[in-house]
Amino acid sequence: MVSLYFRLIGARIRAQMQYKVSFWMDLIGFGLVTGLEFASVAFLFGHFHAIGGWTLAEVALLYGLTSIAYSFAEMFGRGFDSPFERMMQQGTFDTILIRPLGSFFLVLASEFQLMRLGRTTQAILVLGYALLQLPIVWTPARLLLLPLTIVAGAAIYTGLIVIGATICFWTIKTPEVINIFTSGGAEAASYPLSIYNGWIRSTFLFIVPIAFANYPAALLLLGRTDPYGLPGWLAWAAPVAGALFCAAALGLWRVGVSKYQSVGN
Amino acid sequence: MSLIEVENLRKSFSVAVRRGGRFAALKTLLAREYREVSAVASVSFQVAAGEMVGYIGPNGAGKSTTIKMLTGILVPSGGRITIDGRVPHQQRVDHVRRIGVVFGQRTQLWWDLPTIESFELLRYIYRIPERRWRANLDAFTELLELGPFLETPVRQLSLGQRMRADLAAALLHDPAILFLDEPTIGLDVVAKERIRQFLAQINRERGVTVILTTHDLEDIARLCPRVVLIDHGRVIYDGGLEALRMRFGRQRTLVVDLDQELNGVHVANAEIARREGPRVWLRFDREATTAAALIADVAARYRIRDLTVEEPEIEGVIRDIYQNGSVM
Repeated sequence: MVSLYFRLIGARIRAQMQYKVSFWMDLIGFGLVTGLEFASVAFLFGHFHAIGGWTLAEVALLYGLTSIAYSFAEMFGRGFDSPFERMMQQGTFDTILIRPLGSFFLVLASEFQLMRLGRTTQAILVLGYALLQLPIVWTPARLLLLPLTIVAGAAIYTGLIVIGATICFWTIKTPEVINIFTSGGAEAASYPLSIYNGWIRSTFLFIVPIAFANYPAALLLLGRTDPYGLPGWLAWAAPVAGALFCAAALGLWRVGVSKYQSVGN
Repeated sequence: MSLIEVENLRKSFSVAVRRGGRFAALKTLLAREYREVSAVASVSFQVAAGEMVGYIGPNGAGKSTTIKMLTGILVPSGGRITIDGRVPHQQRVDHVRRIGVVFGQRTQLWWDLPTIESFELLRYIYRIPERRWRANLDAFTELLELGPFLETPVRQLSLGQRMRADLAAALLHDPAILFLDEPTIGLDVVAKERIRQFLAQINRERGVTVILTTHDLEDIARLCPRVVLIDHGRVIYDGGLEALRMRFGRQRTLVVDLDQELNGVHVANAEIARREGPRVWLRFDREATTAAALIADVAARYRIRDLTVEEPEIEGVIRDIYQNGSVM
């Protein structure tokens, strides 16, 4: 299954490389555009020295973690993004269902957007800057927490993209509102969760748990306390939150597939 | 038990109703009303292993919807399908491993990659043993003349080439049943003929059961000893082509060459379809009279030089059914 995934993804990447110039322009362009995101965050610090009590380097840690996770979700979950909407509109999802493999797997393996590496690169640079600036006491466990948090975050963002795709089974088009949570969520998560009001905090923790992509891990690494009493050990629950959210997305997906109506010829 | 058993198969879709009047778009957005539209009302038939069946009917009759249920793409609203002992939508993965599907209107190949790469990916997707895959690929490359464009990206293939590549792709894993939805649509005469020959050959030599929908009556005449004709989501005929002509082609024509050109020709139980000099085309209903009685009648009144009886052509029969939308 894993080797088949890489084979199919490899085919997609080779196909994208057929348009080499366009590929490199996309990659670099995307890196620059996403770079502006953090630049705009940093710009705020020219006027305020801290946001919610967090310094620029601390916010860079938040931004780096969530942005790497989001870039992975965009890369790996691309099949569920606009290409899937096109599949729905053109009825080509039919050709997914006639293959002897799970439809979820096949859609996942149907696309891989290498150009999103632009965001990954930029986010890694920001994370690197944060880690260099911050006086974090490193232990093996804390080192492990970084990749764990990023993978969990990527899973949560991917789950969101999958849910957006699943709605297509009923509406044919992914509603724009899902972007509030994906790109909007990634942006909102660049700031400490404590600056938001109660219901936003609850939403990002318990319903669309994108807060787990960075906030608890940052609390733990920085030794900060959350004004609302959120414990730092919650960072270790990120994989659980990611797994639960993905399971929910997958369950919804199954229901959606059974409602698939195809299109007339 | 037959290979394919379909019983009282039903499919209806819920379609959002558009509203008229002011703020119609807004109303539709806020509170949608759905209407059930029946695509397949009640379809039953059985297909034995090795058969080649034409599944035909006018546009919107429910052909594609039936094929999509048989291939496990759509979940039926009611009724039962059993194919090789499996229920397609419930055991989709096991089911599709044993079937091949070709949609004339859309390719299943990897658009931007050389054709051969699609075949290679399919080898891994279906886990086809290397030797078997190689043997099939060689055979299909020869039969369908794929050689010249194996290295060409699919997006650069002509429609005929793409169709041939799609056919090969659908058969690499040795399916027991091949479903074809409009396999010759948009192709020129030569390309159509090549595909027909290939289909006949794999049916004959490999014993692949073939179910095909088509609008091309030549496909049916050349390939399908049996047709299932559907209209408004129901089977209105299931049997041989010849019997279809007998049943629905009730209008026969007696062509008479008279001794001389006449102005008024009157014969009971027949109408004049055409006149050309002394030649008269008399159309009659096989239920109302026989050719013998009609000839006797004409001969009693006029001097005849020659005559022939024209049977309705199968193309004409089916076209009539298509055009009238229904035969009932």
